[in-house]
Amino acid sequence: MTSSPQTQKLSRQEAEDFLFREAALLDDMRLDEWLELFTDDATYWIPEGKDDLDPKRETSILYDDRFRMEDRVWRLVRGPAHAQIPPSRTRRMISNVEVEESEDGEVVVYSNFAIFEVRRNEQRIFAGRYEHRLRLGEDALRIRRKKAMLVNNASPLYNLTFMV
Amino acid sequence: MDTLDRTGRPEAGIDAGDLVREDRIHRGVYSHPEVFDLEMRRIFNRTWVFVGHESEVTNTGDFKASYIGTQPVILTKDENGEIRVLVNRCPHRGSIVCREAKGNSNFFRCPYHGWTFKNTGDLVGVPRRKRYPEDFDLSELNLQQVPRVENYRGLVFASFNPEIEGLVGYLAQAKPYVDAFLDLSVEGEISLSAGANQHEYPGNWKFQMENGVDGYHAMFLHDSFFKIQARSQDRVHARIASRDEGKGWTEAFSNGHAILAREAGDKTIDELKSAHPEYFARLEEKHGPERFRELMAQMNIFIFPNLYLILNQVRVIRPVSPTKTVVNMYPVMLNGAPEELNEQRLREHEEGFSAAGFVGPDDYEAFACVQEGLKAESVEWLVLLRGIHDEKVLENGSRWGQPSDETPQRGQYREWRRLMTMDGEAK
Repeated sequence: MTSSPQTQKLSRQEAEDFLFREAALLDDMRLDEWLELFTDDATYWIPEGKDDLDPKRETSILYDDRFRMEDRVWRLVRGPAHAQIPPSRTRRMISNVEVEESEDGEVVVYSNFAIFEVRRNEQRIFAGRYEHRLRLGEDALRIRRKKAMLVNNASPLYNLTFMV
Repeated sequence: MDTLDRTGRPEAGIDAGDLVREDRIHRGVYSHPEVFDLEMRRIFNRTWVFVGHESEVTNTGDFKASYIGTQPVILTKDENGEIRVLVNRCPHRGSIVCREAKGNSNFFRCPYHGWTFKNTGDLVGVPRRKRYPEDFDLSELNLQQVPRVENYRGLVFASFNPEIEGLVGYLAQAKPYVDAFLDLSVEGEISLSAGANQHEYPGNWKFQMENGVDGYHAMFLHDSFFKIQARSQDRVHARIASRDEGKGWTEAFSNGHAILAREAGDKTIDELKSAHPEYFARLEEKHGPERFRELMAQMNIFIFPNLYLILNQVRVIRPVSPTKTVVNMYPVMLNGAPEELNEQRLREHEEGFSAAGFVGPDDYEAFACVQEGLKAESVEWLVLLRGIHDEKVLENGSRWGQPSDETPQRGQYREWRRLMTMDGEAK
């Protein structure tokens, strides 16, 4: 349930500012700065086949801890990741932002996304819903978990090696 | 059967035998529509084709949509517990009768006119039946059964060829390796309960057929993955073994099957044993130290024409068109293993082999590049002669090569050529 604006730890405006900043870092390939948005115990998750599953028992498109996120960034920046030569260009829209307080003191932000991706003269569109679990750190807001639920996560996919 | 084949079209005018030589493949093999049509009839309609795993249909009424080549089929478990493979095509006016990827149902109802079939294939309901003649016999219009279905240790294969030899015989020299792959489970049973990572790529299905037993490409194409392995050796990574040319071997078996294998290093074995001591102690006790070492090896096993048992996964190749292929990669869960080990295997698998993985997408990029390159009509042949000069023929008839040799691919194309140039019914 969405709490009233007066008691909310995070306003929709603040949540949007945060998501827009993350989107810009991804689309501009400032991936080291993007990593800094996450807590040390963060999870970055894209389920496969459905929006929710048990990642201990079922496969995902990715279920990264902080170390694997760093490997992922390294591969895109240094690699070479042949699936990203030449690299994808992306630009993403974030909308329908909703803020919820969660029981464990974290703030959960839901949003819709549409990513336009172009590589080797072909433009593709990926859409879905983000769930960001945010923690208010001493200095700044950090992502403790980012989950991306693609509308086509139950379909065969080709080359999702750019950042979703 | 006369000159019209099962698809009702005249045989293609291409002589497939001209397209494959011992050390060369013609570009037309990967793009010609007539070659593709002929492959569906002369290969996929004749061989055993992997359609699913027992663990995907554990309960009565469970079903899973699958394919034999481009033909839609349904894997079902009927009320008697029998696993059947039904052609997913209404006998009336041709619609598929099952639109879900998987589920549980005792009946399939055609969406068009509502004809209803039991999961045994029997036609049990025709709406407003009285406008059909009185002597209209329902039993003549059941869903077609794929005539041969066999299950080897949970792996379910089907064949449209009623004359084909038994599955165990078909597996030939690959069978001991299939056993080794499954025996990594202390119960000797695997499960595909973790679902699949689904891929498609803009290229011919045989690129994937060749690639899983290609020990030559990884050191170059997957260089970034090996660097990631090396960067953080203390952490879980897809268990793709050493790039060392001297370790392991390739083998081409009968019937187009093949393997690329690398012995497990001491480091790999020690890591797994120390992370999951109880499980691997049980496994070693069950099989003895020598066999245990074999089970821990990296095995990329190809069962012609559409199945790989490879690393932590069951990989299934589905041709869609000459230049489009779907591949499902199922991480293998080991029955009897602790949850933490299966969870670790999931993370290893995803790292390499999801659409966002560090290995598979680079293969698909290469396949797309080959498909594009083959548009160059002026260069007709691809070269498959690596290691051909000292390939050994073993006593059991299989051919043996170094790990980066093209021995497996030559074997695959010997079988391809044999089937593609054989008229009539294959044995």
